[in-house]
Amino acid sequence: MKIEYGRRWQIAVHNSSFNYKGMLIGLFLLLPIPAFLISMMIGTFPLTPGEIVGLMLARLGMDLGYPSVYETVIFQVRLPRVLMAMMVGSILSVSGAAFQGIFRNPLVSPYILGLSSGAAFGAALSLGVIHWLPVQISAFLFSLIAVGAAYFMATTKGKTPVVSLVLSGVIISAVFSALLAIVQIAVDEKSLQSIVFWMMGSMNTASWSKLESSLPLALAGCLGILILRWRLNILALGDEEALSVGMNPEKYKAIFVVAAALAASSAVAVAGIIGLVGLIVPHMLRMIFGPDHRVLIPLSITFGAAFMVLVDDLARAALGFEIPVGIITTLIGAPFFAYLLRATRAGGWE
Amino acid sequence: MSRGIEIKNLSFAYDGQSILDGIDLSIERGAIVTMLGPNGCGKTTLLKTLNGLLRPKGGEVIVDGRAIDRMSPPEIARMMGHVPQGHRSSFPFTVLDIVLTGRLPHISTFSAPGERDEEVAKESLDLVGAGHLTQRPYTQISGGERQMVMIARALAQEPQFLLLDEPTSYLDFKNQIGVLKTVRKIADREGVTVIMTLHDPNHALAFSDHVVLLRKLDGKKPDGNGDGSHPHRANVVAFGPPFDVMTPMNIQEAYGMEVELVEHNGRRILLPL
Amino acid sequence: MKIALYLAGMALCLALAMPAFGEPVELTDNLGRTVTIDQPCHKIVFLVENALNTYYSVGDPQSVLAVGNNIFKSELKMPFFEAVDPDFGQKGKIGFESGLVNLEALAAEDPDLVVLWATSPEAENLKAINDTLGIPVYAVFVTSIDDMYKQVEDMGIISGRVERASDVEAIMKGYMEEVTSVTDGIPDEERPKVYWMWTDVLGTTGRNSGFNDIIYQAGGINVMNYWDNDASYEEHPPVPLETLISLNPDVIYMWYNENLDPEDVINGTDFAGWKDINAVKAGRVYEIENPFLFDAFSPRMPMALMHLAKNIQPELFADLSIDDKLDGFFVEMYSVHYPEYEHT
Repeated sequence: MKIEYGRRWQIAVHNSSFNYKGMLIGLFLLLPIPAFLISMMIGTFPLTPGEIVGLMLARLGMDLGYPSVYETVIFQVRLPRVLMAMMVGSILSVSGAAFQGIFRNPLVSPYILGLSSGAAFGAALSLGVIHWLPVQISAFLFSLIAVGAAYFMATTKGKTPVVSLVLSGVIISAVFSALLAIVQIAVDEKSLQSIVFWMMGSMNTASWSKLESSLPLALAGCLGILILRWRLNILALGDEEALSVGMNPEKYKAIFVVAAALAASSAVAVAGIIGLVGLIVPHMLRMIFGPDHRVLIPLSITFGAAFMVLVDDLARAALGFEIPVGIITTLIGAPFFAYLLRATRAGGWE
Repeated sequence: MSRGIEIKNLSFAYDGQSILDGIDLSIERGAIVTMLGPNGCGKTTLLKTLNGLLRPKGGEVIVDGRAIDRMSPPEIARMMGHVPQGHRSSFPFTVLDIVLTGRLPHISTFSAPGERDEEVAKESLDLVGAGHLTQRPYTQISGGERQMVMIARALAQEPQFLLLDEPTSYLDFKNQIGVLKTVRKIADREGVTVIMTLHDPNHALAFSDHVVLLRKLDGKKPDGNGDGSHPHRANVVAFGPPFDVMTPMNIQEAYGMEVELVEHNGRRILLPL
Repeated sequence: MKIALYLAGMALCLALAMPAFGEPVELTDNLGRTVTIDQPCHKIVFLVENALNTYYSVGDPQSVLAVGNNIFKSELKMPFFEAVDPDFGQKGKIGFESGLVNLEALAAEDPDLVVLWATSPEAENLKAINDTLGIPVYAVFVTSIDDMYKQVEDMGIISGRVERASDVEAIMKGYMEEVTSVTDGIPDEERPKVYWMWTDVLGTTGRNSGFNDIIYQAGGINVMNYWDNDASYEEHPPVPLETLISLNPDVIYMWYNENLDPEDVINGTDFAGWKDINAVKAGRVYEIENPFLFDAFSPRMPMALMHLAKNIQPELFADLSIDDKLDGFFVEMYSVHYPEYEHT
């Protein structure tokens, strides 16, 4: 089956001189910088760009006599939120790209192994039943439990076929959705509201402490994928093709699943379930730059960050009130996904 | 130390079903060896035991004097290139990206391919006559070209042995011959020992230095040879130069069908009766 | 002659039986539906807790046939219910599955009225019970202080104790006035701006909500009234943190929150961005610690109002002791002492 998506784009890039492609890659690698600066200027607290620049200078020791609330808004509210959006965008995109490579299918998301259902259940459990358990930790643990269970279920005789993984992911998702439903029935209306809001995904409770708590594992997961990224090219060709060049596909599948799940779980734990980012970002990049993971993974990190932070700008400032960012990504992502589904004939699922 | 592959009393079973039994073969370096036989005779299985992808139930495989089960997968991959059957890709990797994956056994865990790897990959592509495809998406080239690319990928492993599993399947007539001619060229020029499985006895006749003709086991346990008509239940019907092996009698023994051998301008063709 | 005598006998029997059947009465529920019941109802099922609380202050506990098993924090409230209704433990408990009431269990109780919470006449449970089982349903949907008084009056009609209902209403209003008589004249600009924090932290109570009114009666003003955005009129609007900082409330009032304490908002690392808000700077973050006592949309609304008023206007209500008020209130409303629930 031939996958024709993005053909014109790709040919345009491949046929042009190396410099053009190199420049474009450089541009995408630098995207987070303007995205960051723009996002720092946007917010519902009235601050002028001049004041923001002044505040940044104030940080360097120049006292320009701004009220302390300005500094709080910029450095305690806006900055952690912008950085968290960037981190979450990077993580979801990188883990999405990795999962797509592992599953040899461009249409899977980081949530394919039940990660999101597990996280939702964990969050609901904390918000509605076990109140002493912090929601972030509970969501993180249960998302990993879900992925672990799906992986364990799909593994027989030391082999984890991709098709079994997909199916076990479906089953585990169903199990955790059922458990979530039980929690939802049991809790009161106000807790239910919190659970629903959490599940839609939002960055509105971003803080330095959340950022600090999720960063180590997020970084570890992303770095792992970044360092080993070329090996995703080999995994993406199939188990037989990996074995024939001396790679143990089971070992690398496990490594990538662990790295991607750790990173994605720590993102979901702080931001809730933000839909379709992990699908759209790697896809757009693949359409432009081709599927080589040596390029795709670093670009997913930078473009994912830029994409997410700009979408979150919409979520927090476009209407003056907070829209859960997961709703926006889903509304943007769904038509795009539908288009891809048709253009790639179900993503070349074998 | 003997150079080449020694297969000693090899047997293989899958889910209790015996597939291979009592195989003794000695493959010398520098030749094209074709494994031939009906569906289910275990030729693909035999090929996979050669590079350790499948672990035999009994017996052993010795390559250049070393037992294959004592070598690590990267070590084997540096010695043996392998092209599995009928590959497809969901992603439009460029041909070069695909061939580069053949460099894996030469690259340490935390590195990616460098300039030298890219050179080897391009040379491999040139060798199979696919140099012009380097930047094309793998999903957009023809079946014959894809086979060449996968052979180039195996050659990028810089192997002494090249294992090809049904390199002509899914290809049209012209592409089949094109692939086989390329294989011949690689064996002659690069001194790579080629071991391949084929479907078509005439291809085996025309492009091999040695042929291993296999038959299917009747499915009974290897020790359950009750009827006595086949004192040795081994798979191998015959092994040797194609003209010696590909006789109507041997074909009858392997396939259970009658054929006629026709000679034309010094070339032989098998025709079914 | 014989026939006439027979008919007269029949008529007499019917006349004697009438009071037992009760008189049909029409009343309008919170959704504007007309509910026809035989007054007084003797077999009532309460699937909503606040109306049950109101009923116990007015009607005969014997007439409560069964209750829903959806009572929030029921373990907290058991002593109270058992005090006002000695048979409470033995009464049927109607279950729910995915929010849908167990119709068979309900039908088995054979009630003459079901009282439930519904936000629309099309609500599934409402339709199922009313249309399928053919049992009259009184729908509760309380969004304002006046809705509470109406509930008291309606419970009077349902229980046939209209007089007691107007007494209860008067008791409630009396307690409310203790607060409103003090707070009534305060100009808006002198009222502390109050941010109401639902359990989703950045979700609050909008201008068109019951809590908006109660905050005002307590002497504060909902900070949403200063937010120039259509979202501020919603029942439960989400507020961006930066907006909240610029609105700068003087008081933050948390609804009962098991994951969070006022101390977390004042000093918690997750709330570093809140530190320049006046309420946080002044340590004026309060929580409804007891969702039973201070449930604003229950007959204990006056107690909730006092709780809010004391925190929002501490100087005006320095002499107000809620603990003292609670005992008097429970005695007047339910004839039990607080907090031991001994009968008077």
